[in-house]
Amino acid sequence: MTPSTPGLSRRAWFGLGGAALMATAATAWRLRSSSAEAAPPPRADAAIPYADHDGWMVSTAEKQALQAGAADLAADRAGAGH
Amino acid sequence: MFLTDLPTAPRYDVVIVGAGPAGLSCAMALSAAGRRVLVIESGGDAAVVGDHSVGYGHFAGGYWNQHWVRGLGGTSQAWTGWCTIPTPLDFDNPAVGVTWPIAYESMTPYWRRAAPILDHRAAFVGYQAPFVPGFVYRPVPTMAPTRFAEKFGPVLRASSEIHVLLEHPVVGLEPNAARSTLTGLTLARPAGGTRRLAVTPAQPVVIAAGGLGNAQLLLLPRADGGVSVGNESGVAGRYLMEHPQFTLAGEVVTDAELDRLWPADNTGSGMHVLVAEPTLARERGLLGAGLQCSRKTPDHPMARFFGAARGRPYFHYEITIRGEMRPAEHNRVVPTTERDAFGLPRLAARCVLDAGDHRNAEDTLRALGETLMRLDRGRVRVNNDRIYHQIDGQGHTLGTTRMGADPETSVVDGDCRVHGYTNLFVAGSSVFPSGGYANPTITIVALALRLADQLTGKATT
Repeated sequence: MTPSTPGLSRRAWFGLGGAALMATAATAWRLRSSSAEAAPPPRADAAIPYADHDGWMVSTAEKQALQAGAADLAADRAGAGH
Repeated sequence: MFLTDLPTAPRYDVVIVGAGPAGLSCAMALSAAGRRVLVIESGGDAAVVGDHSVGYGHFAGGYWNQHWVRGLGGTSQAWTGWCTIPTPLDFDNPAVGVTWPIAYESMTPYWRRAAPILDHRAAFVGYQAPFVPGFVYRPVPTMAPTRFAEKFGPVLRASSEIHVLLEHPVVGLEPNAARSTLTGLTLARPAGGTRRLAVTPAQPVVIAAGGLGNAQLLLLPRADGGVSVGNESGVAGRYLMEHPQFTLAGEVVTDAELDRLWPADNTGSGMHVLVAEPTLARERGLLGAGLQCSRKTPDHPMARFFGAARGRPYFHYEITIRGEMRPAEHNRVVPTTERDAFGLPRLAARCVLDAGDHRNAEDTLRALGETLMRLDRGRVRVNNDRIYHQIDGQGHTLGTTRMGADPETSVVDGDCRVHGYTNLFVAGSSVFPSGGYANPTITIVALALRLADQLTGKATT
């Protein structure tokens, strides 16, 4: 129940509350809209288009070949002792 | 002519403080135009590396003292001799956030005049060759350095227009009451005591005491406790910059022999750098950076790998990057209460790279790597530790009396005149508003020649 207030009718109280509600909603909408406008565009960074081979910027295929070469070299070195 | 004491009735058209590359180049150009010049130098005949400053940050301890030489010839006596010409972007790079108040093109004739002073041919000025899209190759002549004391000492001794007074440090600058002109200099005498050299409003005084020395003079404490002359806006000493060097920051294998690209009429050693072209640099927000790829590795496994895969020779080079720092107000020199051997306040110099200065080296390397990959012309290696954990400098102290149109954010204007003063000028790397990628000496000399032209009414704009 709305408390009685001298000099202010029930209708007036509803009117004030309604106006405040509307103003709050409008402010919220403005804030939402402005923050949406101010926000940076969604980032769609592409994937890095190269692989990393000990810091070298190479393709995935090159990395595999380099790793295979390194493995071959290691196998050669290991075999050299026998 | 060399003096042992101030003449009793001095009459000079221009007074220059400092007998290094800037001061002597300016003096000789003025003399050639018929002006009588007094050059005052704190050191003597022999170059002295002193304990003038203490560094904090990325260039700590006495690091810069190795590059701050007092004596005839100044820092040329310790210079390595490298000459590079800035690019137009170095004068106006949005990523740096500061613009030189002079037109880049107006400097070209002065770089050409400066080249023979530094024993280089003018042909290399402005030379560049395309390497791959987005990057150009620019030469870095690295012949024997020009020692100004040896080269120009006999000229100075024989000159009747240039008088050189050694071993007289300037320990005071006196302004008029309105702080619109310099009225005198206080000089410390070798035998003790001081003498005052009066100057008139019609006598320009050029402070050419080095990248840190210029700030030291404009920060000289005053007996009356007032603001030092030239620091009325509080900018003197701020915006200290170096050229951070990221040694062996990367590697490259490429199908082009980088060391073949050299101007035919230049006798330089073949040192060169790759520099990002303005379009690429602006697109990626790059600061200045020179990628030195002059150490070719014979028979490198990556060169063998790509050579075998592509059926054409590949070459491997190590990359050292010399980059740019964004000017920052907090990087600054401040006088301490300690006095150096010349009776001047020892400086505390704090200079700290920010994350973007480091990242610029990586971004520039990756831009090159992506281009080489796209064109299938080569590959790049990024050495993270060398970029982010190990910093060298080059002894380049820049920006401490920087040039600009706004007196609130700069010390000198586009004519290198101290804001507010009619007869006080600064020459040297301290006026650089930004560092760019280039070694500074040839631009220091070029700006000194330009200043001489301005003082004689012959400057080009």
